Amino acid sequence: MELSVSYGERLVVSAVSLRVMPGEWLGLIGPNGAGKSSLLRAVAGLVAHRGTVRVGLSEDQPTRRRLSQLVAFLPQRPELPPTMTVGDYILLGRSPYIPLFGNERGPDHRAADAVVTRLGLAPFADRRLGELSGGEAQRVVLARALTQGAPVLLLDEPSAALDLGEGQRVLELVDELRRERGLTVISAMHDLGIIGQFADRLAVLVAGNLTQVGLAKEVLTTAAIERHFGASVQLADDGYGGIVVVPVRRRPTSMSPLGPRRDRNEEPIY
Amino acid sequence: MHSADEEQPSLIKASRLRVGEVACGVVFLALASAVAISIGPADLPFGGVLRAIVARIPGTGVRSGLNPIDNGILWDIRAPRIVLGGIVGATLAISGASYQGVFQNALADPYLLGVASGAGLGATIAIAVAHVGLGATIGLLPPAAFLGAVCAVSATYTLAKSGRHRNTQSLLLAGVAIGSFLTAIQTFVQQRAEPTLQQVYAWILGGLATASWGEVVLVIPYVTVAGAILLSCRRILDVLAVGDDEAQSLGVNPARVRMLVVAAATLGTAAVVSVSGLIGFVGIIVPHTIRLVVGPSYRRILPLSLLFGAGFLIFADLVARTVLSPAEVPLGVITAGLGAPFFLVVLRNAHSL
Repeated sequence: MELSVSYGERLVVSAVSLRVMPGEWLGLIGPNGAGKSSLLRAVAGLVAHRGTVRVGLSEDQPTRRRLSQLVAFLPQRPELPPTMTVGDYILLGRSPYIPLFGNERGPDHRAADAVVTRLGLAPFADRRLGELSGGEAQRVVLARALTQGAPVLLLDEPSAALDLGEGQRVLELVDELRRERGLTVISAMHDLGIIGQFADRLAVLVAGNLTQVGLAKEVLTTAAIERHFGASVQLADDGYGGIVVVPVRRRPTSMSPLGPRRDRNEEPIY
Repeated sequence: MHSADEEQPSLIKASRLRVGEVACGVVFLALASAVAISIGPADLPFGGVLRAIVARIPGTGVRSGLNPIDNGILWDIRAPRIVLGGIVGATLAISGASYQGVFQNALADPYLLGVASGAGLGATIAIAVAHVGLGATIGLLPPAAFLGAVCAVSATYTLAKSGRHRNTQSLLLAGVAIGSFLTAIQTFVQQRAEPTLQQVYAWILGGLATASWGEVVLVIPYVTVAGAILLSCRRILDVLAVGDDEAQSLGVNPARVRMLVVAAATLGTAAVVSVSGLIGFVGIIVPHTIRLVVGPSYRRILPLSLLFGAGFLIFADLVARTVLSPAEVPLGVITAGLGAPFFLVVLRNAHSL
């Protein structure tokens, strides 16, 4: 893709040029307001943008329908009508394949069923969206996106609203599905801690500009993170080539590491 | 080994119209028609009515059980009134349900974008300025009201498009602006033409007193087209429930769908308003009640609104013409009388909105 995005007068993303390999997980990282969401939404065709987004070897400007068959978008805050059933919601994912006045047919039901079975959502099929927990709801939204059968998955802050465990499980699930189905994943996440363990490559967006693209271990350095995010971190290797970013707070120089207090010449408390 | 695909039922049972629900609607409509056709200033024996209806079917050899006067009442007065009442109720209900779908608001009604004020102005001008009497049913009055309604909605759309932000909110605001403006003009014209004030007011309050087969034939093309389009849009209305953005990411063009639905609903509403005046609340009460019972899917709400809307208005009309018999209470007053307690109940149970 090569594009820039403006909201009215404000240039939110300028002249970003990126190539994403099929089957790859590209993580978009950057501080809040950097334009990550805007970039994703532009790729999904939801905001006006200058430039082109090319998916695969397809024609330059796909129709809205064609684009939604190629690109599935999971928004940061999905709209979940509380009284709609899980089954109906997941079936919405087949909309790109159903004509305007048409209804779902056999292949649509089979596609949805396959996703429901894979994600273990069969017991939830008749439940209402309003009754689901955060993690369950996110799985349902993921199911809808998978039902679209699109080779490209765009995730906008997929774990932001979830607790530690739920967030981890969702990302692990996305990774499994990616490998099973050969999906290409582009995720925008502001949580640096985990993205280094999932993404193949990272693209750093700062104030609308693409400052760096590369492997996790190239991009995630303490110096770079300090510069772009103003955060103090330590890095760990997870043994699989992934980088775990651990936020470690800065301490005033007068403090020393935990242990007997020697600096103030006081008697130990014990 | 045969393929398991065809035999295995789907894990997901998509919202589908159930036969039982449709049957309830049909029974309700039939009951309303049966009761309404028999009761009136001249009560007609039900058996006689049935025979008279069967007698009309060629080849049955059955003769009407009614005397000529009653036969005349049945066919020239009652039957067209009931048929028109059913058509008006069905159209208002399905239009209201469709508006609720495209605006994702359970309290939207088909008069939202200026239909009411446009039709009112058209009718006022026809009556007050062109001196069209209320009895001239196939005269200038229906076309004037229809034209007024359609022009008002077009003006709303044009006004909304000229704004900086093109979204639902600007459309609704434009509707309010146009509606207020046209109502102001209408009131002005009304005041200036005092002798016709009562006639205009009577029309605005709504009623089926002048129903005739001519009026039925007049509206049928419009309501059929409108109904067919709206029923075809059922699935798309369900997709809009996830909001414009996500609907777009699913390959739907929300603005275009909205325009199509508004156009179809306006066509139907303008047509029925032109012959029946402004009957309020049907477009809100019926779809909303159905939604509370069968859930949020428009695949079920739209067809059921047709059936129950028709029956509801036939019943309301029955009340309108019998409660102060032989005088008639304007139909709009009856539906408003039913509407107020309805909204109170909705307010009390606001969590289920």
